[in-house]
Amino acid sequence: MKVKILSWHAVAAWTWDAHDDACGICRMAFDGCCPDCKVPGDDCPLIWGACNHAFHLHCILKWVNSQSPRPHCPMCRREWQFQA
Amino acid sequence: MNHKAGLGVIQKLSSSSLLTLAAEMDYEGTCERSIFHVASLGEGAIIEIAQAWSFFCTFASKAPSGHQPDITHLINSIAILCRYGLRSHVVDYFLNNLEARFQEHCLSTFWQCFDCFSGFKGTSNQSKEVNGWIQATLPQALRDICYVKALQEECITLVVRCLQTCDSEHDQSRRQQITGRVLTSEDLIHRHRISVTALLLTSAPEKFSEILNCYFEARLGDFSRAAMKQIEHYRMSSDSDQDCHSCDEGGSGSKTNDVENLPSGCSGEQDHFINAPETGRKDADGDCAMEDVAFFSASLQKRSSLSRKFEGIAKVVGATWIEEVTEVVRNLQQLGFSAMTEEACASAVYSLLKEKIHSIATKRYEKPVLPRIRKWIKEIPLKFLQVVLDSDSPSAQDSASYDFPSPLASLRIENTFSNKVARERFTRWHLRLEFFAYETLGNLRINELFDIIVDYPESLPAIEDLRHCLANTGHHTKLVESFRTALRHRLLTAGAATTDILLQYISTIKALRTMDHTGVFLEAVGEPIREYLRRRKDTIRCIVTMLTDDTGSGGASVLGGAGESLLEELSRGTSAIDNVDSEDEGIGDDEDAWNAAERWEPDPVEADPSRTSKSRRSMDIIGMLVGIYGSKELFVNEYRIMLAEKLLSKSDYEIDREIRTLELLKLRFGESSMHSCEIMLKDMADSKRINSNIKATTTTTSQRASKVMSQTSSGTSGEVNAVNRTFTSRATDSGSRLAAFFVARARGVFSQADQTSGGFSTTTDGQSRKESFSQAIETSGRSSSAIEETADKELSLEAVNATIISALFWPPFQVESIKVPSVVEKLLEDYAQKYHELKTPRKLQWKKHLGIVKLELQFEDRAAQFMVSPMHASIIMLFESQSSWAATDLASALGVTVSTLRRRIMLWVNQGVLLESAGNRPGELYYTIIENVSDVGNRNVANALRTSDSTVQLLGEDDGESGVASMEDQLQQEMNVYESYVLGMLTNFDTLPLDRIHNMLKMFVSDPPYDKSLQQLQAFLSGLVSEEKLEVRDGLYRRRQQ
Repeated sequence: MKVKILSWHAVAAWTWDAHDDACGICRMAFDGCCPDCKVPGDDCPLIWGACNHAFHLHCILKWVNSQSPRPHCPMCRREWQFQA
Repeated sequence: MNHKAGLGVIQKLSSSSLLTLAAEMDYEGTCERSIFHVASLGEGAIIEIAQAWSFFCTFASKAPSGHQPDITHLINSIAILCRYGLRSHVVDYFLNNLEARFQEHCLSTFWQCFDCFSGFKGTSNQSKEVNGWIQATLPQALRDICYVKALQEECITLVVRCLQTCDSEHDQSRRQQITGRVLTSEDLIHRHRISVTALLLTSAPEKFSEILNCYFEARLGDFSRAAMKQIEHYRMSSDSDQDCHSCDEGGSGSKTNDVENLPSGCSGEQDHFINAPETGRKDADGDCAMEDVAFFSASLQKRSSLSRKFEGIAKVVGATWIEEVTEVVRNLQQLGFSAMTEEACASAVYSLLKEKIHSIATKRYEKPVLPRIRKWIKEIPLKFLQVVLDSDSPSAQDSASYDFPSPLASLRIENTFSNKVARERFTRWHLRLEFFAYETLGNLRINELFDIIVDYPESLPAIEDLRHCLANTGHHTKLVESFRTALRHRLLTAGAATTDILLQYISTIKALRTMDHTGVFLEAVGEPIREYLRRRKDTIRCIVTMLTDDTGSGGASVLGGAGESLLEELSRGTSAIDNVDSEDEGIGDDEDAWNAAERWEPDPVEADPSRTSKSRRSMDIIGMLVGIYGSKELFVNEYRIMLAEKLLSKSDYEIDREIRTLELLKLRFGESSMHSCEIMLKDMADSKRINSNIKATTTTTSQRASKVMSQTSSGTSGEVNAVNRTFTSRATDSGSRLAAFFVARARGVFSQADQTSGGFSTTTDGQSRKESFSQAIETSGRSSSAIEETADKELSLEAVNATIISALFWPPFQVESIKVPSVVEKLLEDYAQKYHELKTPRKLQWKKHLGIVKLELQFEDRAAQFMVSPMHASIIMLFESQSSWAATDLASALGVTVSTLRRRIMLWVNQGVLLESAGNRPGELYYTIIENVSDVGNRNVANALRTSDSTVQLLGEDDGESGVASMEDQLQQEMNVYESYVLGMLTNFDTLPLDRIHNMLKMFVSDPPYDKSLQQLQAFLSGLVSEEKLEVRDGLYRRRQQ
């Protein structure tokens, strides 16, 4: 007997692969979205700092803007820099 | 002493009749004075009295005899008696005598006439015989007795006349003394009548009323039959010139209903002669203008005779019939049976009406029957009553004219009083009959309500009828009770499917809405259904299915049709159900408020005071269905699960219908609660885009890669070049197969190699990769000899599609891990890699057990296509390399338990692909592929194959294997969190009752917050008890001692 696969429709879940569950700022799941967003994924991306901490982009931007002139990482208090 | 002497004289002189007088006087003892008077008389006077008395007695004793008595002698005698003050005795004696004679002779003969009635009772064809007999007997008997009575009354008149003559002979003073108690014939006749009636009524046997009933029933039957025949005849003739009749009413179209469907022209005509029975309408019919004139003039005409009066009716049923009935009724009335007559008539009419209603209304819901019945009431029973009442009514005797409540009756000034009486009577009867019709029809419909609702949209006319009936009779409570009983017996049983119950509930809602706008009775009726549905597990699922399934258009399934209507309902209703419980929202300014206040109506008394009328009214069908569970959360959750299942079982990305449904649901339940469903749909759309992106990169890069490869390889190594060319050619040959995949995979390496090192290392690297890959092929493939065959059969990325989901927004999935065949595994990895490249830094995590695989099985003698789950596909692909597997080996190869495997593999066994056989050791199972159907000779297998041969089916979804965790599973998982809490609690406290545990959980468990009900906790604890972790005694839970 031979099996000929005509099509294989698989199901997968995407994840940010952030080594953590939830954003340290909003405590919402990384794979979800920040409180201001409705749609996860591209519309509410993650961003990594130089310290390797990840946050929702919207969350950390809000944080950084409120922390001028020298923002810190909310997790480790190091100076915040976006990872290149 | 004187008294005695007087008596003695009288005794001496007189015959026995004088004795009577004496006895009378003695007995009466009335006037001591008159006795005294007698005693003081002389002997001559006494003789005179005696002679006069004896003559009078002779007259009285044969009073109602045919021949004329000697009037002058009688007058003389009476005058003598009067002169001696025996006037009252004369009258009394005469009446008593008449009465006695009546009782003696007539009464017994009269009743004897009916003696044989009871003899009819047992006989089989009772009605016919009885009717014939009654018709022969009753009128005759009545006639006889009335004749006797009339004669007696004549005598009374005679005597009264004599008395009056005597009075006129008296002198002035005497007369004046007498005028105080002057007697008229009416008085006496009245007295006589009363006594006769009393006699008759006291002696009337039970059966007499029965006889009357039978009589009137038969007469009414005659009449209605004749009328129907007439109508039938009329319709036949008017069919030709229908155009001039059919203007006033529809319904003449169908000829099937002979009786109930009165043709319009005919009924119009009949109506007219109700109004003016004497006009001789038949001659003028067909000419509307003429009709009015004729009608008007006719109503001004003087009506003179009975036959004239009932001309219209007489035409229908014949003059003799009318005469007979009128005579009987009049006779009965004269005998004082008017009450009984009316009663009998009424019962006859009622029973006919009832029969009629039952015959035309039972089990027929498609047409409104009420107007027909109303018309019929006017046609038959009212006209019958017209005959009866007319002979009955005083106006018929007072004057020759009789008037009906016609609209023009008010023009007539004479006879106003009798008109009024008659009209009132007639109208009363009309109303009474209509009310009876409402009541009967209402009761009938109430009893049939369940069936009516079963074929709801068709039975709307019946519901309208019922609404009218209820408006008149107010039997709402009865309706609620009877319908609840019917529901309990017929619907809310274990045997009824949930969808059926729901459908019936929906129909009920719609039907009762039509009937009662306040929704009070709907609430009362719906409560048991809701309560029952709440106990069924699949209710929500059914509702959701009905709500979302619009595929059923044109389909035979009932569910589809109703689902469609529900979907329509959904698209119609726009009000969000959030607002139902706020009483005074939406009232904008004062004017609106004022208008609203003006429109306000109090709830019916039956209303449940705890609910606001607004909430009742504003609930629509969806709201009520969703409200079965009291909240929309459950409903939304269930919808999410169903949507997930539906989306995951799609092999294309078509979601237009789901989007539409979701939009409608969003309107109803609000954006926020439908948010995750929206994300799910968005995931589908995104998946489609990403999928095509990945495909596009695959093909473009493979082309580019092959170009690069050919360029590089031409300069470096001929060997690689050759290999490369074969691959390239194959890639072009077979469209996109292994080569494309392979080249695509090599691309990254090449590009890297271009940047870093020389071409040689690249080629070797590429070659080693190729080798390793072909090794992989060899291991997974059946034989390594035919590499082309293998390659041909292998998959490319083209065949792989993926639905990429945002896991947090989907309902939780069943946790299940399987090992898919390495070929597929590799493809999936590659796909994930591509995704990662496209969407860095996102990654894919495969849910390998989810999805859908379309495959073709090629056997030696047959081929079949299937659509199965990845699990099934993996199973069957393992058989490609090895035709027989032991269950345990197979399970470990797939990474599942044996029991799971056995459950899943049944699909292939059932499809006739695999054969299950027991091994040597007990409990060991082997599965073998069936290459040739004929080898097995199993007809079932052959059948199964034949059916599945050409069709592509989605299999394995029917046995509860859905990939999405159901509500119960979810709940179970949620509850498992509390197990450790409970166990810890019971370690500390030894024993605890249920509510203590509940309260403590509520107090201490905060993450996740404990929000379960007492019942849920109880169910969970009893689960633990059955797992032997706890034990329960006297309502106290404790840990089980090991």
